Amino acid sequence: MGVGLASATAQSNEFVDEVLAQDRITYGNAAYLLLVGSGDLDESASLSYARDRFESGPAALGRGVNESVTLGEYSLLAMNAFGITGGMMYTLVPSPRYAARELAFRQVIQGRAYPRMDLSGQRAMRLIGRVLTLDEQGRLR
Amino acid sequence: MRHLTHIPTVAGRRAVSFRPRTVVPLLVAVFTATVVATAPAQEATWSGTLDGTGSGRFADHLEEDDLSSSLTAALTGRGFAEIGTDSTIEMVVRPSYTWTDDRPYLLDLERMYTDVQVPQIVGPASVLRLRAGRFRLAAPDPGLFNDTLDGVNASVSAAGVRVRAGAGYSGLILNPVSNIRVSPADVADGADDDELFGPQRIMAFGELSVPEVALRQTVRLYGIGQWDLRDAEEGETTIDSYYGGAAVDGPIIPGLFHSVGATISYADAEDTDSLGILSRAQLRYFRSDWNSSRLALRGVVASGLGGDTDQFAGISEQTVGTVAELPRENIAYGELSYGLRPLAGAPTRTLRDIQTSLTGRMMFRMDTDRPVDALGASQTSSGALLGTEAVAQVGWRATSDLGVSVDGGAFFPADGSSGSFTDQRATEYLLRLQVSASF
Repeated sequence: MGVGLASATAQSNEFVDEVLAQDRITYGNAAYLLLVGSGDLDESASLSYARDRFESGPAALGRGVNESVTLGEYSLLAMNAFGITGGMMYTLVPSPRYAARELAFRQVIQGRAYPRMDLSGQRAMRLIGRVLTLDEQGRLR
Repeated sequence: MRHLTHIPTVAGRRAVSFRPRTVVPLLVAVFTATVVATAPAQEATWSGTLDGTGSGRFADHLEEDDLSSSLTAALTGRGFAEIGTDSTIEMVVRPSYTWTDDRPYLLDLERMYTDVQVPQIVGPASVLRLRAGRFRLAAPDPGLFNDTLDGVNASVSAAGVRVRAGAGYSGLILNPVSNIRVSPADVADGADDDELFGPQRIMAFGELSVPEVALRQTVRLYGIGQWDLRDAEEGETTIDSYYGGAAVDGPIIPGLFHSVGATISYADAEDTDSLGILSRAQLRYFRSDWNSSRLALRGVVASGLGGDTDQFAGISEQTVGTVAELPRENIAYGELSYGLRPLAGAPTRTLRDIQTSLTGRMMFRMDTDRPVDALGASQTSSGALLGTEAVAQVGWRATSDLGVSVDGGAFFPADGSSGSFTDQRATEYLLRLQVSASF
């Protein structure tokens, strides 16, 4: 989590506190966290704008900004935000199921990796922290 | 599911005194399904795998090249639920279907187990882990068995100590995939197509581990027992066996790790007893900055403890040598292996994950009065050397769901006065390709 927080220093304390307090991270918070973390979004952008960025791309979830996302859906957003290449099945079917498998293989997801399980804000922070660590080490490609 | 609905036959060879049959795995499945179905938070997922292997074995003493292949398709279902605030339960089921040269198909239930995890069972830092059903159960010394069994494994970890106990039954594992072979009758049954299930034996063990007791060294003490549940037929012998052992492992300097251990066996047959030892020592050195280099030096001894009839009594059938496949009894061997990722600095993960390794191995007889139980064994030579072996392997994880591995090697049997074979046994070569995909 420390890496994620350190790498996303521009995020407001309020936003981080809100994410950490969520038992189920919302689409808006997940999208904002990932896009700011990947450097593709200015921190001043709104959660709705962050969500809309995904909705206009291949990882659209068709969900409202305040609706929660699962572990697999968050993995799919992360794969797209950071341009992570997947395996054969992900290439054929870029879905939450195979996104979660890919991130589990890369040890971004540690512990249980059920694609449809709820994702807390704390766990989401840990996941993006590991993605940023891999990115810094040049091991995302 | 075939094993749940069929009564195992023993082909009239032995009377059976213990019949757990379908009860234990069925109870585990019903209990788990009930808990998972009624638990407040629950998840489920599935996955599939395809594993193919093709190999060729070539030598002058073989009448024809020994070519074989197999393909296994497996589906895994997995369910998970939280119980209360911190405890969890998870169920895994994996049926598989195998095509081989030996038989047109083999339908198996490879896994069906339940994991229960209960934290703070005997203190704030403790956790109970319980697994029951059909799963791969490893003995405290995996040289004894590390096989699919129907059983239970429980461990309690607390501050400074870990206690583990387990038991398994091999009589419901399909005969072609069972590797539990203790007595000559077990070995004969293994080659008998009329035998549907493996030998009816129970294995049980207890283990005490003290992690990092001093100088970051972990000490383990263990006891293991194995019992034949059948009554001996005329001319056959049942064998029960008991084991005690200890192991120490840990780091020596940064990157260098050692592991030493020994297991004493006592085999109790009707008309004879036998004492034996399986001991091993290993040094491993890792250097991530040298293309993820791994250097390992390993020595193993498996033999009797002195008497003419003494020998180490194994539980699962194990062999020594990738190519030689010699029986792991009355044998000592040393091996040196080196592995690295030659493209560790490549810009893409696909290339970085190519792994290579080379292994050299020398094998000896411990008791030169006893010929080795292998093709071409010399009945008169008192030479100790069995032979040397060289093996190379390349493994490539092309993507997260596709892996390819090629390994090959040669076994050079030792003959003459210093060797254990006659010149009837020629140099033997092995080439093997393995492909694994998941979906």
